[in-house]
Amino acid sequence: MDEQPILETRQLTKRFGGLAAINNVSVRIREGFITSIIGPNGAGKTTLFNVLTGFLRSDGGDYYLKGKRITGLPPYRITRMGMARTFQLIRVFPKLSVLDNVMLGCLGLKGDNILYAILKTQGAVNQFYQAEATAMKVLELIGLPEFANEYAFALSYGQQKLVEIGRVLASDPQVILLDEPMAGLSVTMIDRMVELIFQLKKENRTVILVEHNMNVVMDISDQIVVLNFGEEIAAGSPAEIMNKAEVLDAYLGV
Amino acid sequence: MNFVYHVLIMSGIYMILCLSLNVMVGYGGLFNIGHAAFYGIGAYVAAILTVKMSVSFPLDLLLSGVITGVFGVIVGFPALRLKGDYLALCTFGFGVVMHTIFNNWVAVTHGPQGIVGVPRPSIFSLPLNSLPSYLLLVAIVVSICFFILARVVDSPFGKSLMAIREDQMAAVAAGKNIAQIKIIVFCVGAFFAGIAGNLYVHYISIADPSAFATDESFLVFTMVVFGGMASMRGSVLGAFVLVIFPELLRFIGIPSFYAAQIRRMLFGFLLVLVILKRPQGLLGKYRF
Repeated sequence: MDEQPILETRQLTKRFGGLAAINNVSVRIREGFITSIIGPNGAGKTTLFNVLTGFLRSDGGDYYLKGKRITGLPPYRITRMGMARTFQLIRVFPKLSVLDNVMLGCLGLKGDNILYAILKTQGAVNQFYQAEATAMKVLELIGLPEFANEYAFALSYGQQKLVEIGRVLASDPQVILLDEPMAGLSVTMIDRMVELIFQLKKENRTVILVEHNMNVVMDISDQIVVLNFGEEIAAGSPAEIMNKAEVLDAYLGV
Repeated sequence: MNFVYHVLIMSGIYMILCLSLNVMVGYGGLFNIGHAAFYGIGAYVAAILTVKMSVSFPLDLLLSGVITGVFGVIVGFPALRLKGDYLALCTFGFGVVMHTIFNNWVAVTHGPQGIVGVPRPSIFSLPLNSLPSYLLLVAIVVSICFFILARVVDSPFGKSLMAIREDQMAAVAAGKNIAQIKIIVFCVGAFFAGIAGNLYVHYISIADPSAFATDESFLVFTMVVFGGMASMRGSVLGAFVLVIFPELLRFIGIPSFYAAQIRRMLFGFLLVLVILKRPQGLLGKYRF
């Protein structure tokens, strides 16, 4: 892997008191790849996501997005730089419509500025309609166009997960972090989610997921990173990972 | 007939208070139960500017809003770290502090006596001394406030504000600078409360601390809940009904001494009734 990684961490460390949730982790994520981060519970996977997206402050090391150092930036700025995430426990806006939920992902609208909101300039209005059209396209991609005007809370758990991904997609991100996208989904919903992730790859977006469903992980990943007790113990293609004794010990349990 | 004008003028002033509070509470989920403090600041600014510095009307209206807006920003900063009940306590404390200042900083506010002799404004040297002319002014200002605030909540900015109410972390993840949005909303809410304070003091002609006590904050909050959280028209209706309703007591022959007490019971009763029967308020869509 000699080419410039789209996302990279260098000796990244995060401690909670005496416990190092992430310890000296250096990973390189290749552009356009589907990368899975696996490991037993408490291995630091979600913590890694939280640090990378600015929700937690790191205690050491740096991380880079598209070659730019983004260590310590607040979450909203990281999102605006093209890296957006979903949460392990879904976070939609329950009492807003599905369309609004997705539209809220759109970045850089003039109407976000209160003066444009009050003046309601033609430019701002046109941009608003464009954003609405973008959001409708996203809704078609995630397969929920008929729910556009429903409240988000009225949807099923799996549909809400899709809405959350829809909000992420509306920001047109190059890097997408999905925290356990398959958890709690029915078999048909998992197929739909897998299909969606492949679609994102086709659009040349980089997808990073934390996932416990090993069948899915082995199936869709181009690259796997294994964490255990906050340390990276293995990285490689699914086939390579399957053959590493340490990983089998730590996680796969065979 | 004068009585009708009086009631309409007062309900117009409360409409502005309710609209501005609703943007904060109903749309933003920022529990402000000290709105009367901003109302009072606007009123005192107007009284001081006109009585002591003889600033004329359209300018002092604007200054009331702007100076109160600055106070909104000042309160907004510590409030950034708080939400829900804690924010409510913080704003409540601010309300108490401001009321105490109005009451005790005699050099500036004239203490409990208040600043008297605030004249009715005149526009283009045309004094608005009659009640109908003042009502017209209030109606125009209410319309402008409604127009501006309705646009604010109906924009992408307003959607981001509601996103903060729904889930702050998700709003941040969606690229919203929520600290900035909250400060702006505190500023805007305070600005319009200051405008209402200005209109009030020019109407009543005295800036007196008892008009901006904490129960005034609760009254406005009640109107917002009653009319409907996150509903602009609800706030107009809530203010109108709750200003008119107690006045009707006079017509059923209750002596004014008791009427004041009954008024409070009535508000409590109406609030309980609305919460039980229609939790989203008369015209509200949003239910807490």
